[in-house]
Amino acid sequence: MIKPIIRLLIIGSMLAISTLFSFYTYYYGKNLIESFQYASAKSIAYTITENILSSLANAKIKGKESSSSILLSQSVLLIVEENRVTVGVGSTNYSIKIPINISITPIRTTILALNITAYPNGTIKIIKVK
Amino acid sequence: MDQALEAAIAMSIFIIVFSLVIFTTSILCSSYINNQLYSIKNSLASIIASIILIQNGVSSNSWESYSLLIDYDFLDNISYYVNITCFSIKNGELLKLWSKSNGFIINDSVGEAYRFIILDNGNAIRLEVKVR
Repeated sequence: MIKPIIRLLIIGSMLAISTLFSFYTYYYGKNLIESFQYASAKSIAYTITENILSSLANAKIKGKESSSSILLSQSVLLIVEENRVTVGVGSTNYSIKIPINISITPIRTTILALNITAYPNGTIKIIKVK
Repeated sequence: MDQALEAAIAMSIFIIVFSLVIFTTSILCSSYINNQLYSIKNSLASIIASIILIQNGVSSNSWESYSLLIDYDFLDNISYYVNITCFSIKNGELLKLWSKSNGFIINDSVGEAYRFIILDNGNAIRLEVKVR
């Protein structure tokens, strides 16, 4: 037989460990989801910026318009301003500043796929694909 | 056996299984985030290559006078290597004319981008960008 005081200690420690684990699970899960969202937003922002600049470089070199299409794996909020591309996944935003002066059609919408067309004069049009 | 002891053993088993689940999840998540990182580094290399192409176009004078020491805002603690080689094309053969780089050679790169263009004077440019 276990002494009542030891039994009380065992039960008390079990409760304490369970409580600690509950808090750990909550914060671990929260951080995990935030890391996922941040990595996704960052990756999508770079992919979109890469496509914008690659299309523009092709247009500049060939002297005629150049297009590219991106199909995104999840719905994102794309905000395009002068020299800046911002992508939101869930509650996480990631922004990239483009270090050259280009003219981008401003877009602020939730999208799944988009088409990018660049012209030799530096103008870029981004169209939402339905 | 005392009920409290039985409960303690059950709890220990639960904690071990729970830890294993968390451990497996964290490995899967790190793998996913590493894949994203690899994709980001490739995009970064492509972005740098595109910016250099946009700045110089097909002008041979622009490529010859171009300085590679540029500070990009979007590169946070990321090192990059750029190498530009100019070739003349005669009778289908490439003859190296000049080459310039930013001096930071990266052999274990994570992201890479290559571009090959023909200039206005008929020479060719090979642009190589590596990112770590």
